Amino acid sequence: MSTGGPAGKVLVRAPDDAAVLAVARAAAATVGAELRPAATADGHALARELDRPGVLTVVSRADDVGWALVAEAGKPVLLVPAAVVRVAARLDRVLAPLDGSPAAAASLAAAEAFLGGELVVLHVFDARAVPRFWDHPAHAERAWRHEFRARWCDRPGTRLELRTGDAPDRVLEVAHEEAADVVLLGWSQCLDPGRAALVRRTVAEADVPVLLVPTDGDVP
Amino acid sequence: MADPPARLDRTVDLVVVRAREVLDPARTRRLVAALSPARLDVVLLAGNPDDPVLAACPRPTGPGRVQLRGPDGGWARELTADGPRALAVAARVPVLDAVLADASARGIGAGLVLVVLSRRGDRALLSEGTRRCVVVAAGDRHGPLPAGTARFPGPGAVAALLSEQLGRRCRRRVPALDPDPAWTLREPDPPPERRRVVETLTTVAAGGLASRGVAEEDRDPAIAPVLAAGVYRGRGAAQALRPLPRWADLRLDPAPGATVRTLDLRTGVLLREEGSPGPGTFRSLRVASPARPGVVALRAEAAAGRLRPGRVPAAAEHGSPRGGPPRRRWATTPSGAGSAVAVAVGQRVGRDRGVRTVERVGCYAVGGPAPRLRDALDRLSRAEAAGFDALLAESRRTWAARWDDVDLRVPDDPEAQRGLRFALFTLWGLAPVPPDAELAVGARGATGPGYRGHVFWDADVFVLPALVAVAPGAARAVVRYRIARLPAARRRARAAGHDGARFPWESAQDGEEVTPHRARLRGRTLRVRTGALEEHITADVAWAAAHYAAWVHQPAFLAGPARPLLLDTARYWRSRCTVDDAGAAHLDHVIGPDEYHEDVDDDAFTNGMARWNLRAAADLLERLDPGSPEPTAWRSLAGRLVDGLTPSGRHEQFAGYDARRPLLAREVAEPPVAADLLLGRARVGASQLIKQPDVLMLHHLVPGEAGPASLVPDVEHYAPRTAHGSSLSPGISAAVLARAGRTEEALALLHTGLALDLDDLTDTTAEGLHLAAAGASVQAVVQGFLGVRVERGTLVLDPRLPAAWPRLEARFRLLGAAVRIEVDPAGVVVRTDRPLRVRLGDRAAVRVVGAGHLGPAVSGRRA
Repeated sequence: MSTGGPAGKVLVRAPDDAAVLAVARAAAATVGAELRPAATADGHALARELDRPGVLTVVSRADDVGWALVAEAGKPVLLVPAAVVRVAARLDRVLAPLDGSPAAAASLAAAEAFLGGELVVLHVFDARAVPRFWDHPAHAERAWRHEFRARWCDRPGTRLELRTGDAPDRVLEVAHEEAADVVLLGWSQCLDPGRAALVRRTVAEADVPVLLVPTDGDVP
Repeated sequence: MADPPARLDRTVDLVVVRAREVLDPARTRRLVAALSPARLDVVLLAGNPDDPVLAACPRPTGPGRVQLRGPDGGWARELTADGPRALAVAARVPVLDAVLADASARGIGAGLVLVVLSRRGDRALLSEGTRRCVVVAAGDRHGPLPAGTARFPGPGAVAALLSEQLGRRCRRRVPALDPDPAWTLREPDPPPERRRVVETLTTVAAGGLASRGVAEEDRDPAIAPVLAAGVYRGRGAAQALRPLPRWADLRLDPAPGATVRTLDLRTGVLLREEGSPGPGTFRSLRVASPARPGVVALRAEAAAGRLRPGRVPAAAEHGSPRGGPPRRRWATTPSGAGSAVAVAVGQRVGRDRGVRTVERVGCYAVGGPAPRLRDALDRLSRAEAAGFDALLAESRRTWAARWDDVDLRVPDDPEAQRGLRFALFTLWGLAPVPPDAELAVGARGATGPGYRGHVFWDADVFVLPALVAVAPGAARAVVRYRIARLPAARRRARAAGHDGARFPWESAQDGEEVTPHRARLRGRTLRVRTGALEEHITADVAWAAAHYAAWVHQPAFLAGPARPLLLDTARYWRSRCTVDDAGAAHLDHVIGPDEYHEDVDDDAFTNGMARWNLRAAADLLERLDPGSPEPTAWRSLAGRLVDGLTPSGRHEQFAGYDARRPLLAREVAEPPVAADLLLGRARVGASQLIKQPDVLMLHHLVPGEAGPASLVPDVEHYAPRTAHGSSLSPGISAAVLARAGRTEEALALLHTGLALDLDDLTDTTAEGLHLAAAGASVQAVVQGFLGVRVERGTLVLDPRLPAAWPRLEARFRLLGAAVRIEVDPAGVVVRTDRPLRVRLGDRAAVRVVGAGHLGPAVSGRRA
């Protein structure tokens, strides 16, 4: 039952950063939450603040503090890349790359509060994740698409886009094509060398905010 | 303290017990008398047939059998209503092995047999063969027991066990299933993403009517639970299999948590049970009767407050039932442009203390534009009169006979063994079909809605050559489906300005072309050109008719019903070919089986199949109409049709193929790989990478049309260039590589083909089983590793086995005979139930009557 009040809090780190503040306002408007400045500028402390009941996310620049925050966060964190050039009034158009793993799909459920608008799911075929068989361009595509949706993103109103090639390239490309307001990425919070290539590239180059959603699984 | 009552809490189908334990006391004797009417078999062991105690044995008064046997296996009697009848016994076969063999012939596996040990020394009755039997020790006089044997002390234990079994039968408890891992597919509660895959894998089917393994309480399954081959809805390219009213519907509250599905390939039943069995846990067992195609039956049980009868067929969607017999509900589908279906379902509710049982029997009448509701109701009445237990027993017997007749046995490769049996099981789901019926085998059969149920060349050259060895009548029906659509094929040829008949690449109810025109790939919309250009289907259809006729040795079929098919397809090629100034004939603008290369000229497979079609039609017409001028023209054209044979002795796949950019499959990714998805159509098309066998398919189907000694050079060239991006590819590649002597690679490919659905390698098994992969896998063994073919009524074989398969036994139908071929290091043995001419490799043909030892196989030789 709705009480008419805010659904929770969106914390903003460095509210004097115009881009960060704009993203935070958009996030708060999207999830119907109250916008509050974070009480600390320390990444580890921010992660603990995020853990408090009612806090939905923290909005931060993708700087050292931001990376320290996301590495420990137990909830979604909105990172604002340096390349952000446009911030919508609401983050209604979400692009969510899914690699067909349970962990990646779980990121959608973990970010449920942000999925009230339009969701575009992107799956990228690359040498690591290309189907072994593709019998017929029309029937196979329909069957594969149907089954992928049934398994990983069976939400009404979801659109599935398929691309081939380098996953970070395609994510950035489709985010632009689709005029996404935010890119949602599930990740395993591991920043070891060779890991999180998609997260690093997207955060480095996206021109829209990136919602990083911690998952238990081993998302590359 | 009193002993706990002896009970198994499960149902068995045969009891083996010492005669003295049950025939002495009057009460037990009455129990024995009650077993036969309850359809429970019993084997009574006694020291000799003249043992006076046997005189007290009640004669059977029902379908349950009573046998009397010596514990040493030395004698056996079947007790009938007319008295005892001697049974043949084999020397030195332990009694329980003989009992199990006899039960197996009725579809009763060892796991359904209760062995009661009651004497010191009875342990000696047990053997390796009895390890899956339910073994208990009753009474107090038994000796040392195997570990894990249940013990029921006390004088009344045997009576209590028999009494329990009678009670379970009378109160319609759910029967058990023999959990033999070699024959069962066990699917523990699947995660959501695999649920639909498991529903597909646990389909039970007969006569082309398939019931997916959908949970009975699932009110809104994502995929239609019941489909039938050839029953479509819609018009034009939108024709698709029609979802049929469901029959296996129950209400369960609360719904089961984790359930395990077990599909028994040996008896064709699906058991579903909650993970932790207990007195009120949910269990269901269903069967699609192979003895009464269209009849389906289910029995379920759960705690009384939890299980309620399910819905009857959804009338709102499928028509309105009005009036009619009690306890029956029915529905009919609208006929529309396609076939109609009538289904009638009867339901019966029972109780066993705190357990409620529900039994549902359904009957589908399929085919024809008018729903045959009366037919469905009549057959339902007969099935209900027989009862669930009789339907189950009948089904078990039918399956036992099937597996006795047709099987592929590779005892040294359990993984392949299970895969091959699953493939055969899948093919059996298409049978039986009535005489003169037609069978539209869609790419996924009726096991799911994939490919909309459209019929491709999969049916003609992948499924049919396997099906004709399994169920020749069903294979005949596949050909009849094509014959019945000749008028549409003629219209298509005429519309393109050609003579004869051109079959559509995708076909459904009306035989018109139903291939989609567009697809999306990598975010772009693409033209789909297979409907326009993949013309080899026309020759494939003709080949299937001829292959059927040769395999069953019915030349009259080719000269009769299939004659117009063979002749009109040849007429099509005659008008379709172009002849250049030098007199060479060409087929331009086609797509071969390798769909990575579109709009090519002189595809080796298409040309080879057209050449075969022209020559086969000429052979037929010369025989039937010696004065006809057409055969001469056809032969001349066939002789001039470009074959692509290069000076190096191999075939160029199509004109200009060798000039494309060299690219091997492994340079792209480890095959199988959908290379077109990865690289894009343009890059793949500009390269030598191929999707599936093209030239090699020519070697597989019509080796006589391939250049002499071209198999090995063709395999060496094309195998490394094959991405196997089609599910059709691994099985046929395995067959061809086996013929070329590359048996280890062939076996690896066969394993891929067998795992295609079992491991959901396509990620689309949810939409149905790939019937062509099943057929290709069977072909890989029969035509590939065994080298079986038919030449003018002679069985020719040339086994080449991989090292991992020192032994192979194949049982199948051929030339009207039930044939068994056994290959092992000692040699090749052929057994047949009717005289057969057989040739091993290049040796002289011999006439085999009964069994023939043909000597050692020719192994390791390369073609």
